[in-house]
Amino acid sequence: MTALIQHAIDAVSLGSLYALLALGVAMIFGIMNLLNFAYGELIMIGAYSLYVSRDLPWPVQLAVCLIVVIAASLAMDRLAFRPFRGASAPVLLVTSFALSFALQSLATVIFGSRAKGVSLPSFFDESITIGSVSFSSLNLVTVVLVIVLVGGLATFLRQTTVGVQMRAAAENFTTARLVGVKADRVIAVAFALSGFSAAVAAILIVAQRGTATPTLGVSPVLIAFVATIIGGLGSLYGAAFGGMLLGVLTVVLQVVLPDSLAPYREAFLYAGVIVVLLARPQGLVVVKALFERV
Amino acid sequence: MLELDGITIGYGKTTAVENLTLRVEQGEAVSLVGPNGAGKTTTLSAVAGLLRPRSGAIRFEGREIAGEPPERLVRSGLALVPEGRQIFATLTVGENLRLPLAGTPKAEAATALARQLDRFPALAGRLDDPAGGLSGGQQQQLAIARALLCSPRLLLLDEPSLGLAPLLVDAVFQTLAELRDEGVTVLLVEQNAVRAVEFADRSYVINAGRLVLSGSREEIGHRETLAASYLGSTTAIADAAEVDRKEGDS
Repeated sequence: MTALIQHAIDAVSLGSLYALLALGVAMIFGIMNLLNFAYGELIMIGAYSLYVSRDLPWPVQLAVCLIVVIAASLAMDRLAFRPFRGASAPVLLVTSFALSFALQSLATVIFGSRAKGVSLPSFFDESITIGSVSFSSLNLVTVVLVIVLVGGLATFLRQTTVGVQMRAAAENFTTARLVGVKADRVIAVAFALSGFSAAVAAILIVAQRGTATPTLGVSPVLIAFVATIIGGLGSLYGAAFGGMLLGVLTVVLQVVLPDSLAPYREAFLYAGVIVVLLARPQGLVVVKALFERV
Repeated sequence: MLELDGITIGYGKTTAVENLTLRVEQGEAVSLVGPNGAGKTTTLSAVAGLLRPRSGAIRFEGREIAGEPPERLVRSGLALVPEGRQIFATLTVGENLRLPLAGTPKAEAATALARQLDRFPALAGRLDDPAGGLSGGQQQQLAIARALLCSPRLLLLDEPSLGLAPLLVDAVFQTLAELRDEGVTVLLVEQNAVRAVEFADRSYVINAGRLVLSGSREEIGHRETLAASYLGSTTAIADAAEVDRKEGDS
């Protein structure tokens, strides 16, 4: 029983992190039809900003990470994507690939290819024991943070003028402009929110791994894409659900697979993803608009 | 108020509208009619800022506006009710209506909203419902109300009667007549040419991207003249009428 609770906590924690990653990708896709591969490099930038500011007090260190990543995300839109406004989806996708590789190379030039150790405040890796169940404080921080962020995002999208404009733009970008919604502003807000999610993901991932590398964001962005696609490309809820499902399945496979098959966990996981997509090519959550019923 | 001066618009290698000249004076209701694929929606899209003409000028209140983004044109006083209504189905009716009021002082926004809800009382009771749940006629009312909340000096409508039952079409034209009587300048694009020509002070008929006829309600109100402009030649109609007459005699 104790082991089951332990695994459940791990599963929900990993699922929350994956949901956060998926939300960051889905946010931009809904507005711009852009699968932003360079989202992973925002996480990488966050990791290096934590490394660079490692000697500062921790609240400042975390604030630096948030500010740098949101600024990088906004700069990404302004410098790399705005010149291609109105271009087709493949053009935007290739642009994001190019940007992703360019940023990885830049990080290698500045910081080298070897991992840089990053220390974060100790409350991230304390052990919490309740009865016979003990778990890392990082698990708790991850789950609470993601719940707060998703709740905050839902409120933002429902209650604020910009939030409603974003929901309108996600449903029909052209018509939103016809009623006066400023296209560049809405896209910038989406990039800022995506940057915010990348910064939080960077903090959680670095807290887990303790290092920053130029390719740190590659694996998270792939997970985010897969989660977004199985969730249904068209719904923030779907993306978050896809992320949670992927996280839970990862932990379940880790637990149930015999040791001899454990190294092939990812193969089993993505085979499962293929089965899901064969059965429901449109994804698990089908909605007409991205922010429906958020 | 609005002048299209020899505009040519195309998609890739295709030319959709060629050398079209059109004027809308303040307080006028003007219709642009023509068969499917004539270039009506393309023309309206260019006026609303969704397409940039290849050549020619579009002037609104004397200012060249071709290529300006739609969100800026809305603020200059040009609002479009797009084809197929294009309401935001997942937003509530209230959210749809408040979108154009962003940045408007609260009291002013409330007055403007109340005014449109007076005009379309069916929407008043459904402000918190998802707009996708409205009937077709109510969705068209919502699309028109939303455009009116942009406080347009020129209202552009693209096929407002499309897909509506005849009674609802009557209601739409009734609303347009009221707006015209209130002094709202209207440019209407319609496939329902007879209704549009009856409604408008002046009409333009385009076919295959070119202007084939223009004039006042009286000048082109005759069905034969209108039909001829659709078919491309007045003699075709005269010939057809002649055949009918002979068949009737025999």
